[in-house]
Amino acid sequence: MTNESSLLHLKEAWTNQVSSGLTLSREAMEERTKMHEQKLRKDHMSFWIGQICIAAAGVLAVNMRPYAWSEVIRVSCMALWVILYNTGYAQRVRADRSKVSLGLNPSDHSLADSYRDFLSRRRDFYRHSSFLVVPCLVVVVFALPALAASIEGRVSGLVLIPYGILVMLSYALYALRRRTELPGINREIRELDEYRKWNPAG
Amino acid sequence: MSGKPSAYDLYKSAIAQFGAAVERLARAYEADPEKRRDLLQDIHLAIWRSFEKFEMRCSLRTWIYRVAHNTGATHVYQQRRRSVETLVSLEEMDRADDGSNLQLDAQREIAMERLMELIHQLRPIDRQLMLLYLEDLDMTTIAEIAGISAGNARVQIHRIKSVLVQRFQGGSSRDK
Repeated sequence: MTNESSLLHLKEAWTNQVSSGLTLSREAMEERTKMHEQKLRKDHMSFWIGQICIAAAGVLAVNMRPYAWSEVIRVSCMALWVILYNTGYAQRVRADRSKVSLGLNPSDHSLADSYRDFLSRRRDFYRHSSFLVVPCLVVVVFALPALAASIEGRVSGLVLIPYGILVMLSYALYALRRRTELPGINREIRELDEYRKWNPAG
Repeated sequence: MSGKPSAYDLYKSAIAQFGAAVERLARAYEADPEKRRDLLQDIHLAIWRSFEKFEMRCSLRTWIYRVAHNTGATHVYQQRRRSVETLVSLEEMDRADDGSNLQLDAQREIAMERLMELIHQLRPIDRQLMLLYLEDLDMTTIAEIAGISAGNARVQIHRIKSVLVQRFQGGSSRDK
């Protein structure tokens, strides 16, 4: 009884919070819409400018000597591209598929669906990127000495050092993040699925 | 004038009915007053724009709550990409004892502050259920908004109640 009454007090306190009575005018809505559209345009633009810079740096690096440095720059560019794509642009593009959304997610789906979708996207990033990252690294590691030999006429062990350090560092960071985040994401997806399937009446 | 009301008319009537609830919801998704004002306006904008898709297949209340919760949760993901690690489930919250149970006659403000702290830590799904419970909605509506069965909603709400009681009352089992 005491519990019930304290919960009632809490509910009462919750619903009696002072409200500002905000209603946005049509003009304010349009202004805010414009602001969001501008922000999206800016995001798209900075993403593509970034891509152009990365591509330009890669092209310029081709003539660099020793050859290892050109590879270091190109691998850094590629890593930057992957980061840019996965953390910013790709996420936004998915959220903004509809003209209506403006990245605000005015979805009529239940939050359980939207949250499941959010978690799956994060999980898929780690799953798919492993399939991409590991074979790419293996191919590049085997291809680099041959490529260096064809360009410079000989292969020096030193050529691989900066490149190797960069690759190892990038992969270590990626693996660490994957290891700390992925189990939690998987657990949450499992719990969410069980929770939604579960029906105490059935 | 005949036919379907405009999105802005629908927005105005929806805000007249649910504006206060939407504002409370924004408080539960953002603690910082400046960012909260921004979030609230974004929720209003999302509601207005959502009416372009509204076909009255569910009640206006369900629609508004769904849109508002989705926008609030998106805000949380965007603000904190670390959300998965920092947010906790109800079970974890129930286990975590910070030894700060409030007295029965605690001031309302302190209780509200404590409640907000608790809500801000919760994962989106539990947070949504707790907010819908606090809004005093009936079980069928809660289940419809949350997209789960009514039985499931009942059990989850029961858990929420027990967490709330333990957090807001002296004399919980942990005080032994």
